Amino acid sequence: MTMIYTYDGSTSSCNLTMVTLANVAEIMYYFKRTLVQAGWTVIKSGDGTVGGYSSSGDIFSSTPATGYGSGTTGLNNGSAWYVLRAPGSVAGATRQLCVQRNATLSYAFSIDYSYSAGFVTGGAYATKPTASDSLAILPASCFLYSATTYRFSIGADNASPYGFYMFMFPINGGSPVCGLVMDPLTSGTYDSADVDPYIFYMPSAGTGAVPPSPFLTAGLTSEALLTGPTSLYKKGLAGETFITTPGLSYSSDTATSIPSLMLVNPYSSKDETYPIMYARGSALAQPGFKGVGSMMKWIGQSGRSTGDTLSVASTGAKDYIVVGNIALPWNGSTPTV
Amino acid sequence: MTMIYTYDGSTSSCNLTSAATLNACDQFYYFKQTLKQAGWTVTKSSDGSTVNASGDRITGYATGSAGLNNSGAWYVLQAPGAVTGATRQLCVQRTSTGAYSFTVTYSYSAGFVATAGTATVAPTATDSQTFASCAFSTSATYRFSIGADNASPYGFYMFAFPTGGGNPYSCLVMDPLAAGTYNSLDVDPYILYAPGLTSNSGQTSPLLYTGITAETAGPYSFYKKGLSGEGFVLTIGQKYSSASRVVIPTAVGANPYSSKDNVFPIAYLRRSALAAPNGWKGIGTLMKWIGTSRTTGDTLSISATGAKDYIVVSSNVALPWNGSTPTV
Repeated sequence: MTMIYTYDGSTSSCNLTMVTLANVAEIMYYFKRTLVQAGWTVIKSGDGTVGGYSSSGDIFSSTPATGYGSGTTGLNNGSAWYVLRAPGSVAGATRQLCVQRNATLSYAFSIDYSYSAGFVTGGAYATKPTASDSLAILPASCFLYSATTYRFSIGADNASPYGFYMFMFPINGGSPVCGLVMDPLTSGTYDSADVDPYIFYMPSAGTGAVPPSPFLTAGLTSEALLTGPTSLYKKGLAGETFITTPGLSYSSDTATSIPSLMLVNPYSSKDETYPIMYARGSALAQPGFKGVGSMMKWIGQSGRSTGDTLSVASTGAKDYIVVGNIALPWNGSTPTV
Repeated sequence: MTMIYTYDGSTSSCNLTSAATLNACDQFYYFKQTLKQAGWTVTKSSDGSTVNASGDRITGYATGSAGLNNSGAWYVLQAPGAVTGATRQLCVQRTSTGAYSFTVTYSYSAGFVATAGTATVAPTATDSQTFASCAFSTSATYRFSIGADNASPYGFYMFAFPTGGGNPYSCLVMDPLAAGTYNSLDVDPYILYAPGLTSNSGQTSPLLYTGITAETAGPYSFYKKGLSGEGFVLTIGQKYSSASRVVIPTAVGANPYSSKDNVFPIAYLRRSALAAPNGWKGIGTLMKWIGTSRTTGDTLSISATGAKDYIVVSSNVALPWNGSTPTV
């Protein structure tokens, strides 16, 4: 795993952090740039303006202010879209994402996911293409929270299985206000017949509202659609379904322990993170165990807040960043909060 | 890992199961025999009348000479080899309370050599910890089974349950933590589980999730052995929950892909609100949560269809099993 962090196209370090938010198109522009830097390919795109269509590549400007702005080669146009293809095949399939801005609302984006068929049908300057196996992982009319008082950060693994994350939080800190995560399950923790070993976490509440408890325990463990994580159960098998897949907290008979109610490791006194298991309880339809995530981890310690760093691998490593009740891989820098 | 199952000394298969118990003496006699078969050594013993200072005097579970069912009879078992730098010992003693009551103490490395022991007084170790002191059964209406790994790190289990089925009456488990799940400075990576410390009483919810997750009568372990702040403390097994319900154990169902049974690892820790030492301990290897509600004596086939490689020992927990259909 080599993580690529928020990439603006002009920095060789690939480690820009916490760019001040101008608009939601900026997030999704840098999202594209970062994933491309991690090996993904923009295979087609449309900027929403007449004639602004590429059937084979990226139409958006490489100059950030233009690329996430409005007008020609900008992403902040009604129905502008792009398709990203993963760097390689995982579990027998090369995945694609189709990202589209809402027709009228600059802070509204949808994301569709194609397991293997690809977005090969249609496509025009303001019409996204379709895939025969398309799933709305961030459904149409679902929205990232919009304002100019937030920061965001993106991380993408340039090695298989190509997980990524994005999160946004208020300048000066506080609970996260939105997130996009494709979290690969840890090898050996999911069934060998599971050909789509990923968790998607893209909570949404609707127009201009903060999604429910993003990256907080209540959100990660929720059984509600658009609040909790989702995944494809039984892809390619009878009973295939795209369904909410709650993360599980740890508790004794008395109280929750993980996340956030532990101390540092009693032996090393270092920070710790803990794996998140995903499963549907037998009281729900389509129950069963999905697997253990690899990118999002529960944090242990209480009293941590978004933007804190954890040094898990070694003292001073700052190899994780705290986002709500979870931690995500980090590049060792001290983030601007 | 090669598990040795309830061994009576006369069977080469080592796979006797669920022998009808006369009292706890036959459990602890077969416990000794099974651990010996798995490589442990009896370093000293007493039948309540005569001490053998260098070996095993106990040849049966009855009363009288060389029997274990005598007040104060005891034996010391030594592990087959060192694990993380120490060779562990157990001292098992039938108490004066009755044939159903036993005390088990644990020595990390010093061994039971501080005092030699007499016919009715067990030897002591400078680092001994009481692992269990309670009733392990009360009558002939229980069955029991034992499993011991003959390879490092030498985990074992024993449990007793009512003949005909039902939740366990007692258990004795030394569960090694999975490599990579505990800190490299932890030199005693085990969970010790026998939830009873009152010699004339039974255990508290043995092998049920209410017992394993209990903050007052659950599993124990050494925290920070050999380091500042060392403590032998309750080390709580964790259940796993969504926002709306407990999912593991018992409420996640079969594997949605294979439709086979699932078992799940148990994480052990002490949360920050509990007295120090606290924090993460590790993940066990022998005791597993089960995914679907079952009853004691059911078998699970995890590795392959029909393998019967786990036995359900309560409505919540499974332990390794030998592939046979147990007598319940």
